[in-house]
Amino acid sequence: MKIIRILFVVIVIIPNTAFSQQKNIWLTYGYSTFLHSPGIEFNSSINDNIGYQLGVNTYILDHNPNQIVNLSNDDKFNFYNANVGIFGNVLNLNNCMLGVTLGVKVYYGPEFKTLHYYSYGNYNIYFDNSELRPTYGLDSGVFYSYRKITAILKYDTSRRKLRIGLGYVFSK
Amino acid sequence: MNVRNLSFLLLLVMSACKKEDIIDLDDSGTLPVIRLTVDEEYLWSPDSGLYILPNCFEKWEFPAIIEYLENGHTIFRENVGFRIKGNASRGQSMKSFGIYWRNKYGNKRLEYDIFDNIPTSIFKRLFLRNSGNDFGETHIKDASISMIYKDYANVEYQEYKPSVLYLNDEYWGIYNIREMITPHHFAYHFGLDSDEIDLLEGSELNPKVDDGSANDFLNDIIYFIEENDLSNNDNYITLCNRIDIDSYIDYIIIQTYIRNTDWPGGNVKWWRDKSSASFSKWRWVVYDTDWALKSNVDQVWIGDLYGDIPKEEDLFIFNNLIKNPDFKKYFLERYLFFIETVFEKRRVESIILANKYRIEKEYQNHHLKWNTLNSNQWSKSIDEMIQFNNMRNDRMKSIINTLQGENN
Repeated sequence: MKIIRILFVVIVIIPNTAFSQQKNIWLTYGYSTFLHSPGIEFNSSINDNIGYQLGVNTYILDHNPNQIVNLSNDDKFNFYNANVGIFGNVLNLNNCMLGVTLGVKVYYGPEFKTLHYYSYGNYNIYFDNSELRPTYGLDSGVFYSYRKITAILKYDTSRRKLRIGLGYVFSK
Repeated sequence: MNVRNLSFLLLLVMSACKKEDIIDLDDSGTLPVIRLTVDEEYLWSPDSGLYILPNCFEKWEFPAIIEYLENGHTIFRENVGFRIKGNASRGQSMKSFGIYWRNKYGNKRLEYDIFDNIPTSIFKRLFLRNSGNDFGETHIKDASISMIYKDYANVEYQEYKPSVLYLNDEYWGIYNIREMITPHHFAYHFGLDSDEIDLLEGSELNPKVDDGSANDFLNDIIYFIEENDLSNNDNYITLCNRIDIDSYIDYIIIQTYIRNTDWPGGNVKWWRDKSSASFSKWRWVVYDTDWALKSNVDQVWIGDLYGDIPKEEDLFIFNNLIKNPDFKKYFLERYLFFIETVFEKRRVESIILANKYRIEKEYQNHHLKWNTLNSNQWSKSIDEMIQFNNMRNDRMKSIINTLQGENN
């Protein structure tokens, strides 16, 4: 329920209260060991070249319990990470646009690291090293828009993860 | 480039960005080393692997070999049994181990002066502790609290020595070697017969039997208090002949002063030897204080004497004892002694910092292994423990002085 409230704030309230010329929503996805992470990012331009962005991502566990030694997830709140930052248009040609994003990202959800290689089973054993302690880092990305469709590739220094995404420009 | 190729490329890039691989570490050489060798199957297999999440709350015991080294020299190498130990802390990544000496493994006990300053060098069991609920924080909390009160308090505790553990030759971090509270502990410390020990835990009104029987405790203590008013000195003296009142007082003082929030709902143990003249009275054990000395320094609870009560039945004995003016006077005087002597600010700081310096050089490896607090954050968490005591000392002194004034 909390995640729905956060998404509501990000998608509906913030865009409608901000002064903006262009609004853009990206659906993003990231994967790390035993975790699928869908998310959503909202972008709103302040002028023709620059804007701000907000994103929030949840996680879905996809693990084999026999391969992990601990799990510090919060059953009621699958919050994975959030980011806030700015974006800028680097190149704008006709219907195509190339841009970059830069911001900060905070993680809260689990992160599985290899603890041991179990030779009898021929697989790795993992531990969740997050201890549900927030980790912070820079969040950067490049995006490419063609007409109303945007493709995005992002990378953060907090956990060194990549995210990919597809977006749609819904007002201008 | 078609969609399939693009997806493959993206997954390839995402995989390459994962920071993975097992961290291969060597210890700093500043702490004793324990090498624990266990069949891989007993640690990791889905059926019998004790370390994996589905099995780590089981009380299974499997054979192992323990080797203990100091300054690079092997001191002993023994066949033992090992278990995962702890309660909630079993669910953490770094797990506590229990080491059991038994005839079936070779030796029924260990004979070595593993700890300084305790009256025994014989151990049936040892506890390799991950610092319990303090794992990932100070890593020295319960050990430090024990060191603070052990020379003054009439309670039992678990002696402490930090070490580095290698599990099947892999670096496994800083483990706190602790004594394990069992009847053997009392037998070796005080020269008693372990078969004569009654060891109880949990609620005073509904104790769980660790060893022996709870019948005498319920009859002699609980039912006696229920039927007799302790404000009457004769009844009070009768009770004092059945429980070690100094032990009980010190126990309550320690737990309430340090604000152990994992007590008295849990972590309550008491014992006696039913055949010994010296230890026939019930005495209390302080352990698992990992949730103490932190947050909300102003929250004070001393049973019915002061503050809000979490659960009335948890301090049934104490709440009846304070009806007696002599007990109350004695309790407050003793509390003040603890505040001014045992928990004196500079004394507590020096004990905590000494424990910190003892493991400081090893801590970086431990942090790299388990992603615990980095060195700065770790130092800060230890400083917070010291600051808590500084503020708590003033707060408790003020409260006890006020209570003494009201009592006169």
